Amino acid sequence: METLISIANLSFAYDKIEVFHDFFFSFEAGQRIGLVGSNGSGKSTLLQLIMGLLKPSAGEIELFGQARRTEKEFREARLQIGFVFQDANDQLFCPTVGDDLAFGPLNMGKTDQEAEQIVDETLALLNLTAFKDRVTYGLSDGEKKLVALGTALAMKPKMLILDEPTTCLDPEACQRIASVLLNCGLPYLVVAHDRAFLDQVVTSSVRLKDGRIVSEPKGLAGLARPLSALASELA
Amino acid sequence: MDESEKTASSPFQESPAQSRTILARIDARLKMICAVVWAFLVSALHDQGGTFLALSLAVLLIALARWPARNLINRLVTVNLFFLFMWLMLPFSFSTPGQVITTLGPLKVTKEGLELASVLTLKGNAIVLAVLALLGTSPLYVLAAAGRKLKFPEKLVSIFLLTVRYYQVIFKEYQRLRKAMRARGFKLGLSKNSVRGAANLIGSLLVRSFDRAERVHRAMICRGYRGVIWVKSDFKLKSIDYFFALAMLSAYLLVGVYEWKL
Repeated sequence: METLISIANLSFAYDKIEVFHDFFFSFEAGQRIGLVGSNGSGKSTLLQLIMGLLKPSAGEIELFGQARRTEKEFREARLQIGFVFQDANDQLFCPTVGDDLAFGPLNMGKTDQEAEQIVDETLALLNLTAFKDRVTYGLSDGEKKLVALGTALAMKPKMLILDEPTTCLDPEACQRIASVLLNCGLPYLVVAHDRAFLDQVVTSSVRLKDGRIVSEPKGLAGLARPLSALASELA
Repeated sequence: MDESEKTASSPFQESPAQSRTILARIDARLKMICAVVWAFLVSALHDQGGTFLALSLAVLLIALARWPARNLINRLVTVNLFFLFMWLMLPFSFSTPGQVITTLGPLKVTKEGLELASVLTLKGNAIVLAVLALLGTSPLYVLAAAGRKLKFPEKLVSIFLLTVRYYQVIFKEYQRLRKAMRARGFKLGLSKNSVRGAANLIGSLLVRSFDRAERVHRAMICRGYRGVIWVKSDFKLKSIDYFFALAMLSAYLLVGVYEWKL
């Protein structure tokens, strides 16, 4: 199976506070992994290192089979990873929902018509077709999060990375996020504290502790997931 | 200051003007150009008659925009507070060559001073009314797109768009902080503690805004941002635009002819 993310011997520190030392991590195509860990364990830092938004002090980051060091190399990789930020207000900055969904595709060189088509497809996928011309700051938190997820999907990425997609959302909004994720057909890495949500959307979980991956004792519920999914498919 | 948070009125809310008026249907690029020409023309006027004419035309424009009266009055009060200061200064400022009308203690009120103050006030209001009627009838992001079409620097367009978007977010953050402060008994005043609290509020907003700017920038980079914020725009001059351009041109000529007796 294709390795999408491969991290080796990675070290990173904020000023003098070391977050990672000699860190290893890999992520394969087809995986849906939950990343858990207490506050300050380095989850968000890891995600930003993967995206090339932070520079490691040592180590290798390989994305889609190529080593990434320079901004240019990361830029090419970023367009293939749909990244959903923790706060949807950080991600949605265009006047209308349609403009925001079109931003990524237009940056990738799509024409106005192509972008328009992607916007319509994405809205249909999210069940938000009527929202195209809505002003972004007028949306509810749940709707903002769905649109933020849509901006990632609109780039037709090879995988998704989500940083706490369900924080501050009501159960119904969580459910909508979960169903979009389950139906998107993409591998993803998702950071979350919400155990019930994770059990629903991931096939396994890993725990980040003191800058290392430790086995996740409560991941059993997650591991049982593919079997039940398989069972329901066979039924 | 009133401690109760009234409904947030911000300068970046969608315009209160009716969206179905004629002015709302005019091409935003054309309206932008008209507003700029108008502002330059009116600020060049000297004569009371000419400024009166300009003000009447501006009133006509704002009537066409069907701007809600209450909102309009609020805005005009703000503008005219500024002119109030001129009325406090100018009438007394032409002491040597001026024709003295009356004296207030040691101060002499001159005819020239009064005239200048009234001309400036009329001019200011004529410009503000026309700009409101012209620019206030297009959504803000359409103005941004129009600015881009008119070859405004890309950075200005981006700053404008981001300001419109994040003003709301930062304003809400301000309200949240303010509520949290009030929940702990904060009252805005001049005591040492109160001033320190207000300073911390402003400082905190600055730091938060800076952090947010960084996060927004990162999120933009993740979607391939390379210096352009795309906004959907399809501008096309229709026949109504040509009529409007013609009408504005006649208004300019009318004012110009009246002022300079061409």
